[in-house]
Amino acid sequence: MRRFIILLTLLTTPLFAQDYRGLSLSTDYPSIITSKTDIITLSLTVKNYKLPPQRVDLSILRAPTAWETVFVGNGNLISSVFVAPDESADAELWIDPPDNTPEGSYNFIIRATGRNNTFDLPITINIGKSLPRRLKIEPEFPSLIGTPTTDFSYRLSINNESSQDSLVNLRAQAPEGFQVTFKKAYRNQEITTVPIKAGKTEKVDMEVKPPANITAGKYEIAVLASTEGTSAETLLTMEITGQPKLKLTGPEGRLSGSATAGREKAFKLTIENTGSAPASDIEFSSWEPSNWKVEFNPKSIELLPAGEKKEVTALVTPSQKAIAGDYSVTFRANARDASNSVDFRITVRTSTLWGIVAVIIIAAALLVVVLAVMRYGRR
Amino acid sequence: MNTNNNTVIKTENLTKCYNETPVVNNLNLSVYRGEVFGILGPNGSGKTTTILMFLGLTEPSGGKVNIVGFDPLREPLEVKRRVGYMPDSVGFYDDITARANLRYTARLAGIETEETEKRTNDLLTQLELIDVADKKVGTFSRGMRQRLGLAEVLLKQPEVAILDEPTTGLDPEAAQEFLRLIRGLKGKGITILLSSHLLHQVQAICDRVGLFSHGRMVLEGTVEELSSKVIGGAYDLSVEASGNDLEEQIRKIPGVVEVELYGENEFHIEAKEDVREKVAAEIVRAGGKLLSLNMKRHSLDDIYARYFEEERDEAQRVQANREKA
Amino acid sequence: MKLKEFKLTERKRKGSPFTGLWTVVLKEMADHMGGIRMRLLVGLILLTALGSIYSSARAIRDAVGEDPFIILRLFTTSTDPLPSFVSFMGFLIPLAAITLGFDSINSEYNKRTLSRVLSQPIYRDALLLGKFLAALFTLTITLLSLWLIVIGVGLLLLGIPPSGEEVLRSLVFLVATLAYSGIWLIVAMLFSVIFRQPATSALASFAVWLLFAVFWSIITGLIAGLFGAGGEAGRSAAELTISRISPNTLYGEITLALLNPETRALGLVFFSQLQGALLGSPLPFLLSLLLILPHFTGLLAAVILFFALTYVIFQRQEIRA
Repeated sequence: MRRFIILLTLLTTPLFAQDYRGLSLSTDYPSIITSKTDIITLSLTVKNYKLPPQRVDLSILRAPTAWETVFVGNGNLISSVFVAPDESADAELWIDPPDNTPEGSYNFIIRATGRNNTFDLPITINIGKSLPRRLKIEPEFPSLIGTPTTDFSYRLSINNESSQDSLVNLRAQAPEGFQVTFKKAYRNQEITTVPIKAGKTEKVDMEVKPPANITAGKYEIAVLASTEGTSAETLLTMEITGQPKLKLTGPEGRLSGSATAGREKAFKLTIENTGSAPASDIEFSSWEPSNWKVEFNPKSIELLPAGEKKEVTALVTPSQKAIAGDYSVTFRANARDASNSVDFRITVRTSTLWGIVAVIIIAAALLVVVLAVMRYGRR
Repeated sequence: MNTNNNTVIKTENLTKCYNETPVVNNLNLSVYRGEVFGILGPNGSGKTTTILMFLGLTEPSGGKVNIVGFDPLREPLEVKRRVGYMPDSVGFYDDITARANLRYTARLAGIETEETEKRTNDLLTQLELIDVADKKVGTFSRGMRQRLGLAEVLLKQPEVAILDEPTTGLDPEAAQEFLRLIRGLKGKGITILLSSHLLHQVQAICDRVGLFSHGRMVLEGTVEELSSKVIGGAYDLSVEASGNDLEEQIRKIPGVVEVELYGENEFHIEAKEDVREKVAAEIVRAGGKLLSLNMKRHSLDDIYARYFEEERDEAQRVQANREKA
Repeated sequence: MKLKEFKLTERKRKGSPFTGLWTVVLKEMADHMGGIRMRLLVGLILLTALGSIYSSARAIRDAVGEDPFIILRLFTTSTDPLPSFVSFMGFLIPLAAITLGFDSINSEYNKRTLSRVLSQPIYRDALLLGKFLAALFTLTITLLSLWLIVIGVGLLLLGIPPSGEEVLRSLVFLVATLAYSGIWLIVAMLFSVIFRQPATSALASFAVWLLFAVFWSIITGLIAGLFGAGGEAGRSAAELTISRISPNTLYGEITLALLNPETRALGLVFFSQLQGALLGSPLPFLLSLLLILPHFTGLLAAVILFFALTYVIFQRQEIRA
């Protein structure tokens, strides 16, 4: 198979290439345009075409004055490479333009010198011109629908359409009370800026929390991505549908009370709809220790408009055998779209019947003494 | 019950039974103001029970008691306020002083503190206990305890002092000394009721005595009365005289009950009255020679012994009659 | 008892049965306080109490932690070689009570002082009650000084004043201890009325004490075993009931409920009763009080009934030795 490919290559490669014997020195982009005067790095490749293995010296044949050049290979300064037949060797050329280099075109010639052969590579560096910066921002889904408690999450793609790495600032303009946070996609840290490499795209999640008491409606959020010299904007919309929210509270806001074992005790609870839509079919339920009885009056409420409250009486009968002290009872209100529960601490008092019995017993014992005194007393 | 001012203790058919056995049986007794009355009898004859009933410390099974105008059953506190009682072999709290013992009694009796101190000092001085007043009673001899007991009785300034076996445990000398103390109280207008089984010891100081036997008071009165009642004559003479037919002559003397001849010259005469002069005169008149003449009074012991001798004889006779029938 | 006879008897006597009561009380208390026997015992009690309180105070001080009832812990904490203050009390207080009571009446007979005292214008009622009260007051004074020691040591070593509830709880504990000591006192007095020899009555009292302090748990198990039909729960219930005949059990439970405010119930608790219960939260003082009320009532009623029994036997006895 390999032979076949070689054969194919032989057939399709131009004759010149096929027959070329000697050295070559190459780089990907022999002509560079840059606005900066930082060090410019060129990767060089030296190739031996059908020559015996040999050392190849590298040199600068021509360079503008005051420009410094060095060859670097594997982290060392070098001046030559070694190439085997039909093999290549890599090296780098570092070009350091002097500060305040005026705009213009500067030419270099780099020479590779083998045993019998040489190869020259001309290079041009143009100082002064650069690509303009451009940002693009694009939401995945620009419009979301949800309830006030929904977490709205927009995924945004930000594209750095320029030749330079950029630090992009993110900002959102939302109605008052909205909480907006940015996160890098699939990450958890909140961010306000995101670095984007030249020509690359980053994905950012924008999470929006509407305020709890928001009324239903359509809201717009403008997102601005900006970097030095340029910015991009997109408009997102969120539609908030209404939601009921229930709040169950104890008498005068307290969450504790007392009751006597085996005896019914009424607790006045308050149910309030703090949501943005009417709550319907509110059913009351409870979790209580076994052998306890909890009943509600009324048992359910058909409709509770938003922002209104109603009183509910919970009739709690602790078990006859409940021991003295604190028990926990949970009252729960369940509507179609909302629910709320409250843990209520009930201090159980044991029956004071024992107190009466105690008094009777002591009285009986004293009566015995009185009878004894009457019968045998005063001797 | 009717009591005149002079009767301090009066009982009517006073009876006490333990398990149906009478310990005191239908006792009718009167003790008059200012006298020394002796309840005498052997141990177990119901003396202490009677005394306890006087004080309301034992409930009678029947009959009535009146002491210093009160019924001890109804108002024992009133009785006890007015009556001092010294129990048989009186005991004290050994680990506190004589004075503290008396103080406790005084407080129980409701005597004021100042008065108590005064009376205590007086009594302890009088009874020669003042030197040991602040010693613990545990160190006291029997005699000292008896005297302390008497002091306790007198502390109350009682109308009646009841002394149960006051001489028990005392040597004869101490007993006589103690009896003299008791006799001395008579002058202070205190009625004294004392019980004893030592009849001869107490007979000298008792104005009247009651002889107890098996729960009954079998004899009551002055010693003289008793001896004339029981023995018939209260006088016993022994005469040594020689002469003819003297026995016959003496027997004729009025007042002589019995004459016995022991041996040749010795006579034993029982008489109702003092017949010494008459006997002497008769012997001389009959031409006899009087060698000696002695008279002895009957002691309570004699009376007691004689009484029970007769009773025993009586009982045997009744028994015999019953067996015959 | 025929009612007619009773009324007659009742009408018969005049004067207060309490005449001379306080004289007797004062004299008896003076005897107890001055007596070498009680001094030794009180010294022993004070020493052991001080020791146990001191070591428990140190243990509490070392254990860092917030505790709203830190002074109460002084009573209940035991440090390894020494038992806790309350277990010392459960042991020593009956001893003291028996010591005060076992010769109260028979020694009067033996010293031949009884008839002499009763010939004073007082009733026997006052003598018996006076002796009982005097011993009880002596115990009260002892207990009160013990209580002050605990609070004092608490202040000194822990630097914390007791809270109002702690004071209340510990005072009620004091009253309960008094009732508990009352039982042993009246039992000892009962024996002192029954037996003429103080040694016999002391022995009898200690035998009863030993029975309840040591052997009752064994006896409880044995008797409950006889009622085995009720299954495990029935057996446990029977065991509990029988064990509660013992004043030691009653006192122990009272101590637990009063000094460990977290105690919610005494005796058997079924799992169903615990469902939903918030454990570890202290019971309000009044509820704790309600919890021990039956026990306290039992102790008190027993004291009163034993007193009545002692009283009747004493009243029926003859004064003469």
